[in-house]
Amino acid sequence: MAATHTRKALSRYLPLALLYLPIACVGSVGEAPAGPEAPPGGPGPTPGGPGPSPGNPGGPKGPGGGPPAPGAGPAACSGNVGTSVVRRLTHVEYNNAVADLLGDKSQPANGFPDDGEAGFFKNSASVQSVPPLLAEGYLNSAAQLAERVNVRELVACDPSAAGCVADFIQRFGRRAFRRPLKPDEGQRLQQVFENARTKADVETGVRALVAAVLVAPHFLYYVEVGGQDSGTPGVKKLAPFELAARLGSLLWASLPDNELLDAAAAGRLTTREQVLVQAQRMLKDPRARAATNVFYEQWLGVNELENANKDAQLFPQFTAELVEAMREESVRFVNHVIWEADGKLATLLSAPFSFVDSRLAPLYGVSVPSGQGFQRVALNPAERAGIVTQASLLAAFSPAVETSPFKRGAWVRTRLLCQELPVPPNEVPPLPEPKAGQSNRQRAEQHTSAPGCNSCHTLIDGLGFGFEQYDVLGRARKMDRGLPVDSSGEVTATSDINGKFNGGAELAKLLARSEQVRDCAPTQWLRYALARPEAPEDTCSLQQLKRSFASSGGNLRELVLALTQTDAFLHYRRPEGP
Amino acid sequence: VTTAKKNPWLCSRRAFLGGLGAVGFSHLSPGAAHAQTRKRFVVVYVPEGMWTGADRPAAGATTLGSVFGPMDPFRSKITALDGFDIATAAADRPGVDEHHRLPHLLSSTKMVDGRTSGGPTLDQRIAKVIGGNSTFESLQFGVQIVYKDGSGRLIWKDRAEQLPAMEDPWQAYDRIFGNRMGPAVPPGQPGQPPPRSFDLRKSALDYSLGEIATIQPRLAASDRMRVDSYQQSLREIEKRLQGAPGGPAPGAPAAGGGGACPAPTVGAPMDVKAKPNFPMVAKLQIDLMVASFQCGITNVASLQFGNSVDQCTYPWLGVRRSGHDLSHGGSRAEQPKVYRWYAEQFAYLLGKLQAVPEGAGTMLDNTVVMWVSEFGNSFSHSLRNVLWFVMGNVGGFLKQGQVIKAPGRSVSDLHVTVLNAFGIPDKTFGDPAHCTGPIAGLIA
Repeated sequence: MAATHTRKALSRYLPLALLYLPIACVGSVGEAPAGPEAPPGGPGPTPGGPGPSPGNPGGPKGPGGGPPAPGAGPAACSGNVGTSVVRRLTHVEYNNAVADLLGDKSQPANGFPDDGEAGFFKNSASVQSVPPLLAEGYLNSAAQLAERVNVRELVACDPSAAGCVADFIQRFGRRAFRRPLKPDEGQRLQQVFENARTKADVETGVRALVAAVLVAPHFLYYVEVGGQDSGTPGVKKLAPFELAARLGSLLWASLPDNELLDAAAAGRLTTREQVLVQAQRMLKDPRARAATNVFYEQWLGVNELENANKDAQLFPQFTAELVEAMREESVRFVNHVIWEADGKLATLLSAPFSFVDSRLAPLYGVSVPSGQGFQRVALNPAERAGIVTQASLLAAFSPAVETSPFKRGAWVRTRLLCQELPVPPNEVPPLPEPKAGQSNRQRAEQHTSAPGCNSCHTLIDGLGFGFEQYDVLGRARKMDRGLPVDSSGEVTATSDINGKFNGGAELAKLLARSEQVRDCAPTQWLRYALARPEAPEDTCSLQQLKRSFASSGGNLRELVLALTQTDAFLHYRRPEGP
Repeated sequence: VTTAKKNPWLCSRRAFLGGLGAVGFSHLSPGAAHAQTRKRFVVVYVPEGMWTGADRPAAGATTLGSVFGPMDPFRSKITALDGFDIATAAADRPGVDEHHRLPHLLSSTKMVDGRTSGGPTLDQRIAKVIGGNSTFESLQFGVQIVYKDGSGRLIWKDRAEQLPAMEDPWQAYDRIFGNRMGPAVPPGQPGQPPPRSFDLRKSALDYSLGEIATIQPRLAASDRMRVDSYQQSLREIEKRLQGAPGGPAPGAPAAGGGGACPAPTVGAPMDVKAKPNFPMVAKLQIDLMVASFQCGITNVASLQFGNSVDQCTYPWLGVRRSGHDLSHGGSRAEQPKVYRWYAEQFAYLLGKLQAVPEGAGTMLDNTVVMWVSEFGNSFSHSLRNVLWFVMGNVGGFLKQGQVIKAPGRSVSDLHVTVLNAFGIPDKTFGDPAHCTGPIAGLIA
């Protein structure tokens, strides 16, 4: 777990002048990735064998990119799965859920204290306590939403009429709790209604009901206890309604709709084929775009843009409007690649075009007619390729004044190559002050060329130096502090793309053809889907997912569907202990 | 984007409060009766710690020096603790890197999975003892906390239960002085009695507590913890709704008998995340904190300036790099400017506390204020040799106006001394392996 944390930590915080004595480096990252020719299941943990240690979930593993092994179909994982976690709705899910339930799109969770962070993803159960400030947010939001509700429209009958409210309780409760109410649960909600009706009036009764449901633990938490035995000790199949809730979270970042709940109720969410049919249906819904954007923004770190900070005198153009444009470019680009173009990871990483509006046009050195919003434009292929060289990320992973090859390099190493950086040692010696007449790169090299430092730093520096051609806003530049920019870099310690390159576009193209990167995408998706780092018991599912992604040619739409077919997604393992 | 902007209820609620403040609340809290015996505790976090060659306070000098000089007027009520180690952090290896050690500072425990604190923080231990006669057992204030992971999580109610800070003074005002958890009042009707007597929040809260009890038995212990935290938070709110001992509202007599409980002025909402607004947000948070003390609303508060890996660029000081970039070899002339500015904020806080008469002295005589930070040398990110301050007093327990140099001594020893100051007779704090006991020289 610590390792997951550190992965994010380093990618985000690696400072300009990091000088860490890399005592632990070789051991950690040097569990070198096996070559692509390694047999499936060979380099990585074999099914049932020792998996990645929990402390090193992202360590380079065998790509498993060969043809599917015999019998590697969906049933090959013997129902194994890591320990499941009960988590609460993320704030995004809360906002979407109240929109689905009440038609209220006010996004009240934006006023809650932020979701915790662990790793790249904001749904990690390990940091999801509910402090009083958040509980107050839930209560206030519930009351305010309930006050705003049009009672007649919501209940769709005369609430004074016999049976109207009782029906509403069943209907509304099932949607909110992602399962039918138990008899006693329905009774207790009826009591909430009666209590308020008696003290106030019928309308208030319905409002009290709505407010109560919105603070119920059954609404706020994904409570899973599992269904039928799976045949593997300690592991159960998810109960159908639990599975429906997971699908809602994964594909819509919201509640299941009635069709999905009906399928669960009717026993039509049992086989993998049935799950697939529902997942395919759900992916066609516009909600799937917004929901998968949540994953891509967090995985790729576009969401870090909100914390980006530039010196106002040097970069007065770095306004909230420009930041919004940068973010929107990436969202539009990701959406386009996944939903309108070929859906391929390689395209995401190296497409020769993007979407630019008049705010962004000067940054990319292109012209776009103003007042017409975002336009698809071809970018200079020597400078730009795919998401890797977009301004959103180049700006998000840069400090306020100078660029940071370390932050940008760590971004590639941790997010795209799924490798961890070791925890740096304590007590690092102070750094030399910057000198005049020194480029940013020269200064960085001075810090990191020392023997003992560079074995670690080549893991990030060699990647990060390739981005020196972009300034902290992501603009292409030829000069840095009066010296020509040197964007030559080197990829090291990967399974398949080691070698020299020059510039971000070349690096992007290398990444786009890397099997290690191709294997990383399923790993990140699985972590997000399970709201936890992968455990050894998930290895088989993960290998399967990698193989399936490879055989689809790296199709990201197919990847999400394949994820719903894995044992890790479909099963439940109760935590040990009382 | 400021959260204030997103909250459509805030403005009208504040307008409503303005009207109410003018007429004053008539009720006096039971808490006011205990005014003379109120003790208070404040911890303030400053990011990035000390740097190489910093001008540290010298024993016997007539000034706290070029950096901490702004606090000179209070020198007789301040002790500098120089050379201490955040020993539990330094020992928690490999753990996480030095950028993520905030949970260590006040808990003195080994972190859980490198993510969360292993136990409650000092302020929360104290709040359990002195927080009972106030509306809020403790209040957490913050200014532009960018990171919400181990870099930014300072205060922990207990193991793995973080208490996030209020970063928006306007929302904080609403929460503290606006009786937000009281009966629902529709916006836009200043001074009008609430037309709806039925409290949706109370009803929902009661229901939720009942439901939580039904699912707890089905959950494994590790999952139950997270649901339990929701339950505990609801219970705390329930106590507030039931009119637990709390302070009077603005306009009523102050808790300490020293004049009126002041209605703080917060002015028009602004973007609380914009760097240039950092000083204004800081001032407002200090104002709200002291007013909360005066009104008996809380006795324990924290104020967190940013986070480890400081992202503030201090534009009002002419500093161009973020505090963290400075610690990584930016211009070394700039870091002292930043720290001097923080010393000025402490001077402002101490001045406000001293301006409130209480008993025979002032509120500062009944309030312990701690300055904590994570690095003893920000350039090397060292968790050793830190410079912290303890200010104010409680019942004359602390010996103030000195510099205590204790190279290698654990900050846990300071924590246990402060516990003792508040009448908690513990011999150690946090991990006992890193605590040798109270600091005799700090005790009067």
